[in-house]
Amino acid sequence: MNFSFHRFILLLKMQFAVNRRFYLLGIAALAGLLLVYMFFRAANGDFGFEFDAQEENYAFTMCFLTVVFGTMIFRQLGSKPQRIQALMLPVSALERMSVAFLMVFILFPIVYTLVYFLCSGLVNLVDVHVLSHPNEWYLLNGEMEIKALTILMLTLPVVLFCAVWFRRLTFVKTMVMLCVPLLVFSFFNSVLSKMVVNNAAPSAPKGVEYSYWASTPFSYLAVVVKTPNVESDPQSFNVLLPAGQQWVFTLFLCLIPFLFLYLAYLKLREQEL
Amino acid sequence: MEFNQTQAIYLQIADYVCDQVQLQYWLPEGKVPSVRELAVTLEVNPNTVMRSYEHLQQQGIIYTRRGLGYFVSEDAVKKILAGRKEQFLQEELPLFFRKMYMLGVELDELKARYEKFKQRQLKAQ
Amino acid sequence: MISLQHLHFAYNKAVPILQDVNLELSPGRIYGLLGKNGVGKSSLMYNMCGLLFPSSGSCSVLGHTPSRRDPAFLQQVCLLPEDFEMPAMSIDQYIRLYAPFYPAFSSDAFEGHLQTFGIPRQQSLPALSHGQQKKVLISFTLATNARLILMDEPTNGLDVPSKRQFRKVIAGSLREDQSIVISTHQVKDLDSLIDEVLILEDHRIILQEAISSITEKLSFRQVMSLEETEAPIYSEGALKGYAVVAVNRKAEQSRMDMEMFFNAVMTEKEKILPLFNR
Repeated sequence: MNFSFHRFILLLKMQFAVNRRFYLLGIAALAGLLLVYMFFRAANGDFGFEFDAQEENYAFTMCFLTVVFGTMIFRQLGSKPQRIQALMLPVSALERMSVAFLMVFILFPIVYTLVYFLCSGLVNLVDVHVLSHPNEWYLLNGEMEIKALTILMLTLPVVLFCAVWFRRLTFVKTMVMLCVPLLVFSFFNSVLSKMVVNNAAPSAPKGVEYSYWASTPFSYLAVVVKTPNVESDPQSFNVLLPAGQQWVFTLFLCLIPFLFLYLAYLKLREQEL
Repeated sequence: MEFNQTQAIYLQIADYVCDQVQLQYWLPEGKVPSVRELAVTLEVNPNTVMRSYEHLQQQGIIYTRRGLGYFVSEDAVKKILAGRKEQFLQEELPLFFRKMYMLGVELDELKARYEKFKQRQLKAQ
Repeated sequence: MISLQHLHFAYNKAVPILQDVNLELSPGRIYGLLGKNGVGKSSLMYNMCGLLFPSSGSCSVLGHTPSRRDPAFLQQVCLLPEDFEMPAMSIDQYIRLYAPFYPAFSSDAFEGHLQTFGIPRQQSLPALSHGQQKKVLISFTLATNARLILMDEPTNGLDVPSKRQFRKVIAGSLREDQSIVISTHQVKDLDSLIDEVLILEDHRIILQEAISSITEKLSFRQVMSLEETEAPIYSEGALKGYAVVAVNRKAEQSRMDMEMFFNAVMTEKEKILPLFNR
């Protein structure tokens, strides 16, 4: 591990200087699009631009745009001439990684949040005073932002890893990378759970049917139990992990993002031409 | 300076230095340009210039003063003249004689012409 | 200072690029890396600076292993690539951003080189032509004072006066603790600069020899007819008679014609290489 704060700052400065025009234009374009969309909602919705809509929009666009931004953070590794110059620069992989981390995990979400609230604040003023819709201005005081941001932060390490891994069509490939494991995982989860339930079926009292209902890995397994000759609805049971064991799996889950961060670092360190 | 294609570059550089000394552009006991300066002027590798200077030093045309660089020897002009005369007699004269012989020119024929040439040179000075 | 031993490299196993390359480079010298197109000159340089990793063999440069790409190593090595893209900013800003990465960077040297090339300091990079941008990059590369400077086809894209300026700049900046490796197929532009010739052929370095020892063993002459001399190793028809490469038996001090030497080695490997086997 080789880290110098001085080089980290130099690299950060360079990141801004080289991409300055791109960033400024990006922010301007984003603000423009947001304003157009928000004014449209405020003027055309029956109740203007509502608090819940502001919150939903924020959570969704935040996640989407941060992922887009994340896939572009190692753009200079994409073309051969820029790649040579980037790799020959005397910085360590850890410094490069730290700059990317700071940009993607911290700076972009903060900047986007500010831009969003600036726009939504402006629209809210118009909404309330001109269009007379009594809507509250959403300022991270809703119910879903914690959950959305947590999911985002858990996804971003994978995005960062993909940004190093894929040189071309990074965004498309990243989206596939994010979706495919989820699909595969949920498929296997239900198949495995069904196998577990079917396995247990022979031990059921005579006439009683067990069938699989739902499950979340490392958390619970819901089973529907149908008893014959009883005129009631089938009952469902949740098989839960004991609370004392749950944290082990939570910890395991929390380590996955760090694993991806580490993989991204390794991948960055062994970049060749 | 244009290098010719046949002679080793370090010898051509040595020749160049001798020219400068003989033409009194660089005076006896005067400082010779540093290896780097001359390399830049002539667009050649500094190591090649170094080799030329070593060659010239062996012949006593220039000498080093520790930490100060190379200087033209006091009797450099004399030595260059002697060296070049020797070279002329050894290398160029045989060729000249060969041509004379092939064309059937006699030494006496040249004598008058050479006198005339000398006169003109003196006048020109 | 730079030592490659039994270095092998391939992009994929079926197509070897470098096989059993052995090379020792010492400081204070300018090396000319010659070879036909596509023979792997660039790959060899990339292996030396850590852009590509050898598939086997050892590579030690300035006491480092290049493939680790340690910042302490990268500060000592500067590569001038054949293709490059300059960021959209002024020369001034470029220096402010990039120079601090190189502790030995000399602003004075940079200014000097720019002056030799005749490029105004206050320019913005996108306003310069590609050739001029290359000159800025050459100036920067040399001003880093890196101990190993690798230049891949540096004179490509430079016009005739710029090639002269390039020779001046190189002649004035070589330091005693520094090695410069220049790969080129435009040999004529640079032959007065080069100390030692490296020839890459058939995936390996087939010849590494100082110019002075090449001219000790071979003489380069112009003759009117081929009968004039004893049988030459290689000859080329020229305007006035022939240019020949022959074994140097009389300790002649001829000037090496690098292009002819390269052609001679390419066509008469069996006759020339044994002369230099040590």
